[in-house]
Amino acid sequence: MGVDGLRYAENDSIIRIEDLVFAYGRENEDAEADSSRARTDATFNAVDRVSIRVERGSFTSVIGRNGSGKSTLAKNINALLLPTGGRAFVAGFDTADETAVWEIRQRVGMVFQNPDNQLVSAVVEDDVAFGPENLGVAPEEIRERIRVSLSAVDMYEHRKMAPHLLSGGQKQRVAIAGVLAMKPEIIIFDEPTAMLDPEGRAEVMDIIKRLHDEKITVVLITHFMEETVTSDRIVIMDCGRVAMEGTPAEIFARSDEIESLGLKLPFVVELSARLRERGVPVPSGLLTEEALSAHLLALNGKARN
Amino acid sequence: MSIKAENLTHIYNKGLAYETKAVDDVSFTAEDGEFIGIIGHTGSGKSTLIQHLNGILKPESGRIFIDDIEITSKNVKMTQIRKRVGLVFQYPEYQLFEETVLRDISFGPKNLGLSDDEVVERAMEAMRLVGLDFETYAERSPFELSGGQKRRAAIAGVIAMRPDVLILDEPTAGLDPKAHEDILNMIRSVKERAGGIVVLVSHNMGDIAEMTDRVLVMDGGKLVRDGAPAEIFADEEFLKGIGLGVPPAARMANVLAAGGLASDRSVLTLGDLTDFLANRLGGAGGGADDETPEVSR
Amino acid sequence: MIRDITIGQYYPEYSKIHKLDPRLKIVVTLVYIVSLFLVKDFIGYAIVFASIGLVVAMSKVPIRFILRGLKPIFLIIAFTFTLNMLMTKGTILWSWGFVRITEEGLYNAVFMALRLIFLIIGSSLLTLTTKPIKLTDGIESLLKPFKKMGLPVHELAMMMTIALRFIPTLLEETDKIMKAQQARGADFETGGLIKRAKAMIPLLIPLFVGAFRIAQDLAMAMEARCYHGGEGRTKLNALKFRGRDAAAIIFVVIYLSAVVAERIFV
Repeated sequence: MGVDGLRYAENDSIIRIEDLVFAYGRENEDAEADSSRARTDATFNAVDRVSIRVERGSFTSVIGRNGSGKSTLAKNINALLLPTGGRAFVAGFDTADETAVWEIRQRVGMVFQNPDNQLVSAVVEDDVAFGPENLGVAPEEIRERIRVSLSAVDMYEHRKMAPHLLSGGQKQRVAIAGVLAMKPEIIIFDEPTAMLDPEGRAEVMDIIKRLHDEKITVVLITHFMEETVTSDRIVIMDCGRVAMEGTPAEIFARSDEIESLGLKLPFVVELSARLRERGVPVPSGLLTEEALSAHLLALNGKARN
Repeated sequence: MSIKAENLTHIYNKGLAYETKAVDDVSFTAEDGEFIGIIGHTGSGKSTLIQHLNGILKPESGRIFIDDIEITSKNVKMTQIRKRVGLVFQYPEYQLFEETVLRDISFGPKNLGLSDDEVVERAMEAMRLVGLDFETYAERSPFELSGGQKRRAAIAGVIAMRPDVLILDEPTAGLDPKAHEDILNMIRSVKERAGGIVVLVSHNMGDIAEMTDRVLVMDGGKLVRDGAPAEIFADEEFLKGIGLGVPPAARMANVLAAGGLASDRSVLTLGDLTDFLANRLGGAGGGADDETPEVSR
Repeated sequence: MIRDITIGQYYPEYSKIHKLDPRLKIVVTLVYIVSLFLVKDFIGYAIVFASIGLVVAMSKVPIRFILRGLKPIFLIIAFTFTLNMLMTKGTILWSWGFVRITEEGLYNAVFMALRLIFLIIGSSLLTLTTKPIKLTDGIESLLKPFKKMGLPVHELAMMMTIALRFIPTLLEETDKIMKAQQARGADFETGGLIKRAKAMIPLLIPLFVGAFRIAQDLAMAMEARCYHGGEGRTKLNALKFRGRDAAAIIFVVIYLSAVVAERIFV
């Protein structure tokens, strides 16, 4: 049967996760019989019955504390990990289908946290070539892809450089170019800005937003609430489960719940919440600095009149 | 307790075509009890500067005094410096190496040549200060801890040397918001209980505004500003020009001021901004005026 | 600074020698090394000297830079020289106690020392004029015939590529950990052998842990980018044999004939 025959095309959810469970240490059957502590460890569900849909071309942010299962969930999307329970349908493929693994990974690119540990080659352009080489793309075509993808992240003039001489933000942009060169439909960013300085963080977020504008489906895993404000949907994970889900406006209206999950509100949202407590009439849907300041200035105008 | 740095200059790759002045004629003094923030763009020389303060790097020229000991002099003993100045590097958890948390934390005090009893006592104290329960964690492997806990254990390893000056380079880098807040609170409580001078290097202007009472600004190896946070963050244009910014509350306050809603005192933290706005716009009418602002002293 | 260390010392330049096919350069270097052992007298060395001198000049690598590469092995050269000088029997030129210097010994000593020096200049010229990554490509390509015999050629090349990429990263990591432990009072510099070896533990353990972390991250990243071994893989930089490579071959053939002719007829 041709691979295309397996493609799932019922609706437009490019990622459809159904009741997904991922347990670490399941293969360790002996430990299970040993002691009660070993048993809980052995059946530890890093992801626990999660169901999510991601629309094609959308921008989804996944947030949650360290150890909330968000990275594990991400690795289940491109078949780096396979679910121990439930299903993950990605770009029309079932990740459990072993024959489709390379098809899936070509369509689902992934950018990781540590800028130093994901570049393979000692020359930028050779690193970008790594993915296409693995896919067996012809050399002339690879050249073209290097040009396009390095230009897309504004790193083309650095194509001959050694990665260790680049800044953190530049390394992450090279990593993104390496993924783009595989022509993915989805890119998962697993805390891509966690190890960067503010400048690097801004550079990378800027690129991510541009990619979203170009209709690439973006899944962004992050600790920084500010980065999630412009996304279409936010998923908050806690203890392996989906604790909250919705648009940024819906999510940030529930500020108490967010704080109880050990997360920090974006600055603008936290300020709004505090002002409300102090009796200043501020609605909950204001998510950007511009929106809130405009509202406050209007209030000030009224107060004067 | 005081730090005095006089005309410090450090040059990398001296004599080669690509030699760079990482620290360029920097002078400052710090007195007991100060909480100092150092800010600067990546590559501005912050890291190089702080590595001089505990003798890891030797300056090309210039001198540093800790109290009246000249630590840049040739005949000073390293242990003399190390027990006065503790330096916590970025991602300090990567330096953990012992079999147990207790033994790792004891590494520093042991190197100072203290007795076994004294070493354990200090390690216990350090664990208490960083909020790691002795009973639970002392005998655990440091490699089994969570990210935030590893970081605390590593910081405890420096605190256990009981330095008079504690320098932390980006101590919250890479942590989730909860662990980030925990580390900041930990630093506050260490400062409160152990005193001395604390130096915090950070890219997070909000943290600098919340925590410190004096800010040094580095750019291109030079110390370009030195003053109270209110003073430093008042000049957003200047900071932007050297690739830095102001805390989010200050930025918001500046936007509001431009629109005619200006505060007559400096706004640096979320608390400041809330007080100011509640006072001006709040229905209940502000008791906030009577509150002491959090930062300006 | 530690991050400026370049393994194998590549000297960036745009010379004809730099542009040669790395495979050719590797083979020529091997031929050259063999030729050094064919030389039997100083006339032969004159041919070697003229040829390698021409190549060095064409490579645009400063002589100074090449000679600097001899420094670390100066001891070995001196040792060979002395050993040859003292251990060869023959006509005595000079003696003092049991130390005898013979005419043959002196000749041998100079001869051997020259052989070593030419050997090192020739082989360092290979790394000086060839980017490590090209060298890796060249080795992979040359070893390809051995694939059928079960030699994991692609894997070896990939290992070299990754090593080249991560040596600077690991050096940086070493530097950081060393400083961090020094800040905790570790002393790497004083004391006897055993004390120093012990002092390395706080450096080595974090370094190994770090290396494993890098390895894990990298393996994950490579898999995510569809790496599945050498099967069905294309290469961006396919090596191409060009006109200048043919010219180089002609030069090498002339050189080798000269060396062999000199050995047989002179």
